[in-house]
Parts: sequence; C-alpha cells; structure tokens
Amino acid sequence: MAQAAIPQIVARRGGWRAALRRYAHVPLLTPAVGLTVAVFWVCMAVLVVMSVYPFLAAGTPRLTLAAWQRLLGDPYYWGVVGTTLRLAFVVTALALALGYPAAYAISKIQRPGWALAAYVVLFAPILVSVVVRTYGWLLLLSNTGVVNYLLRAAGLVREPIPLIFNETGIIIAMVHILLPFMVFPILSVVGQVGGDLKEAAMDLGANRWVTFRRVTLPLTAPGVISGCQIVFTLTISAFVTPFLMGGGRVQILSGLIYRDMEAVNLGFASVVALVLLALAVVILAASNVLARRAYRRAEVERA
Amino acid sequence: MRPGRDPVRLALLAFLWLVVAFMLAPIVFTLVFAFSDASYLIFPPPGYSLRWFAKLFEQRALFAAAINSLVVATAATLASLVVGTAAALGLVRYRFFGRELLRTLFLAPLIVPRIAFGVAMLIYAVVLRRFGGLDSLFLAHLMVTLPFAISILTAALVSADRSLEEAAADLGAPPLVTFWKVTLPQIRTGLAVSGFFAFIVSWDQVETSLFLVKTDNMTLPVAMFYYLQRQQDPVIAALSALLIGVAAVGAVIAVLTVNPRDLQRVLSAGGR
Repeated sequence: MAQAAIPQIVARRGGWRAALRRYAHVPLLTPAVGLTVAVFWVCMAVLVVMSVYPFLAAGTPRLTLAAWQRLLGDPYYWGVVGTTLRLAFVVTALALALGYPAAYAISKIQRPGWALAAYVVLFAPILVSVVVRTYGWLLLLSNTGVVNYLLRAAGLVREPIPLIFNETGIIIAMVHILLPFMVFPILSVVGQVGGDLKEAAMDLGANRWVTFRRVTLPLTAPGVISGCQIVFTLTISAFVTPFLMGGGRVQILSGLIYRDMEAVNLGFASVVALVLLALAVVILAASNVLARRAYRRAEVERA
Repeated sequence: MRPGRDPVRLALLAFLWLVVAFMLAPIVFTLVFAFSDASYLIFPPPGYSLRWFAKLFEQRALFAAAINSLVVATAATLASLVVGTAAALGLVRYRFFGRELLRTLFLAPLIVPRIAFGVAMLIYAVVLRRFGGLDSLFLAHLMVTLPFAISILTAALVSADRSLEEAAADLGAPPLVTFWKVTLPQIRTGLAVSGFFAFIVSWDQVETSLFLVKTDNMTLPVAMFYYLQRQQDPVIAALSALLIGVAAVGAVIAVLTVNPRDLQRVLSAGGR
C-alpha cells in the first residue's frame, strides 16, 4: 500500500521532482558502473588484446597467436595446469577433512564463551598478512625448523625430512591459510540443522552414522559446496604462498605468470592469466550446478 | 546419554583443539623467532634478544612501504564505502531494466584471479603512463574491495526497514536527510563489516600490487615478499610480531563490535 501511495504524493509535488525520484538510481549507480567498467572491464579486454597483440605496448601491433600456440602445444604447460589443479584438489580435500569436523564441533560447544573463543582463533589469522603466515610455516617446516627439531628430539627421524620447497610445504601452508573459508560457510549451515530431525531419525532406529549420512550431511551440503568452491578457486589463483613454500621447485600457473612478468613477456603472461581465469570460471560454473541441486535437496529435507 | 560424556562429542572437541593448535602454530612460533639471537633460522634459538627489532627500525624502505600501504588501504576503504553505499542503494531501492546484469557486472571481479587482474592492471597502467604511482594501486585495490562492499551493503539494505524511510519521506524530509538520519543508522553494521574487510584486503594485497609497484615505492606486504626472497634473517619475524600485535588488537575490536552472524555471512560469501 505504502509503495503505491508514494508516487501519488510525489506526483502532486510536481513533475520535475517525480522525474528526479524515478531516475535517482542513475546518479547513485554511475560512480560504481563508471569505475568498474573503466578499470576492471577494460583490464579484462586488455588481457584478451595483449594475448594476441603481444607487442602492442612496444608500439608494433601485429596479430599473432604464437603465445596461445606455445601454451597449448607444449606438454610442459599442460603439466603446470595439472599440478595447479592437483594441488587445489588436495588442499580442498584436506581443508574439508579438517574444517567439517571443526565446524561441527564448534556447533556442539555449549558454553557461548568457548564457542566465541573457537570462532576468534579460526577467524583471527585472516587479519595476519598472508606473507607473515607463510613465513611462519617456513620457520616451522624448514630443515632447521620446529617440526624437524621435534621429530629428531623424539627420535623419529635422524635426518631432517624436507617439508619446504616441495608440494608438502605448499599444501600444509595453503590449508592453514584457507581453512577459515571452509569452516565459516559450513558453520553457517550446521547451526540450522535442528536436533529434532536427528532425534526423529534416531527414534526411527537409524544409528548415528546413518543419521549423519542421511540427515546432517545432505542438510549441510550447501555449506560444504560453497566452502569447497571458495577454497578451490583461491588455491588455483594463489601466488605468494605456493611461490615461497615451493622455493621455485614447484611450478603452477600463478608462478608461470610471475616468471613471464619478470621476463617482460607480457603476451605470454596474458595468455596464462586468461587460462587461469577460464579455469576459475569453468570450475565455478560447474560447481554452481551442483550447489543448486544440493540447495534444492536441503530445502526438500527441511520441509 | 549425557552430552558431557558422549565419546563422539569428546572426540570432536579434541579434534577441534588440534585444529586450533594448527591455526595458532605458525603465529606463535613467528613470535618466538622474533626474539631469537641467531641471524639464521634455527630452533630452538641459541639465545634471546631484541636486536632484530632494533634492526627493523633502521629499515627505512619497510617504513615507507608501510606508509604507502596505510594510504592506499585507507583510500580504498573510504572509496568503496561511499561508492558501494550509493550503488547498493541504487540496486536495492529502485526497480529498473538491467538490474541483475549490473549486479553481475559489479560482483564479477570476485571471480577473477587476483594475479591475472594484476597483469592486466600493469599493462593498462603502462599504456596510460601511470605505472608506479599510488593512484593506479588505489584503483586496483578498489576493484578488489568494491565488490565486497556492494554485496555486504546490499544485504544490509535489504534487511533494513523500508517503511521508516517512507515515513520520513511522507513527513517531508528531503532524500538526503532521510538517508542520513534513517537509512544510514540502520546499515551501520554492514558499513563497519565492509569497511573492516576492505581495509584488511587492501592492506594485505600482494597479487594485485606485485606488478604495479616500483622497487623504490612499494607496499608493505610486497616489500616483505621481496625481503624474504633476498634473505631470511629475523627482521621479518620482528616485523611480523608487530603486525601480529596489530592484528590481535584488530581481532579484539572485531569481537567487540561485529556480530558473529555478520562475520559468518561475509566469510561464507567468499570474503577473501
């Protein structure tokens, strides 16, 4: 009712005011649209143009698909794409293995003070720079670091095990950095799973495992999927942590971009950047289909 | 079964403590190394001293980089709050053709890998002859922080009570007064959360800044990244200890001011 009344009042006040109200969204949206188009969308166009006109910045525009041919034709680069995806799969799986029980446990804490403390510990590392946290893992995992010292002191190993400058180090540090992005989406759905549904399942004779698999898991699936989406896409595009933990011995797409930028090979860097972008978009689109299905299922179960 | 004695529940809580230890370990040991006496990485430290803090304060380049980071992060935060609030108002309070398209247009930067955007930004900056300036850095960061601000503020405006705004308008309040006195107080939390995140994201931005900075005019995380590649003496540990201290203060402020539910929503939305 109120919404219908406003235009009448406005109309009575005069035509120009009404016009002002009707088109008020134009000045409101113009700065954001202008900035996003002039900076972000032009940048995306720049990437595409650079990938086929690599010498544009040097002033000699010449259309060439050489950079694309080099990337798509060389098995080395397919290997790099493979490593990038494999690392992302492992990091996502481990983050889920740690994050799901952790989120579930937080929802089980009865004292609000302890629940808040757990929240803060899982969230606060986000406030610490990624560079600092990666450095922390270098200190922990290097040959003369904390973990190898403890392993030797416990008599478990004689020679230090190499935990940095390889995939192990990258995976450990990435799981640490991205764990909050897995825990929080799950936490936001775990709380909504009512105890009554679980009790009903138990009353009907389902044991704990069956109750978890048939009730809790489908209801929390949307949180799991969105957590996995975030962690996966952030892992394939991460640079600082894989670069420092890998010590130049593990090559992934972001490292390839860095290498080519250092060599002022802008055309090839643009091609790799576009491939990375395409991977992110494809993975998001595919998992969105999954997510929609999971949401629908969760809605049905809840109803 | 009493919940306190339930073995599955106890196992879950024990697991949670392990995860908590995992999250805290690199931060705690960075603090230990900051007070190490050794100039190389060794555990346990042979002795303890404050000399890396003394050496840290001689590093003018790191100090200048910290100032740059502060300037850029503050500017990006303020700009994303102002531009973001206006855009969110336009998206939520008006019905017009192409609204969904606009929303997609605004949120798309969240999907794009930052390092890919960094490459494009460098080329763009070189073409416009703005390479190495804080202005191109500011614009790059704004593109990363603005989508967060718009998505959080849109949610805040949707849940704000619109009838209050209508009442104010009916009583003859001009639009700006209505906005200032009625709308703004209702989206206070959204503004705080998006401002907080915009600042953190810009302050800790490496991938987008990496190619945009000149060696003599860096931001702090980029300067730390390059320092770590050159040498690994505990100067970075000392600096990290200071930054962890600042982050701890930030965490306390966040706990006192931000509702955990809002935080959860931001992180669930991919608040990188």
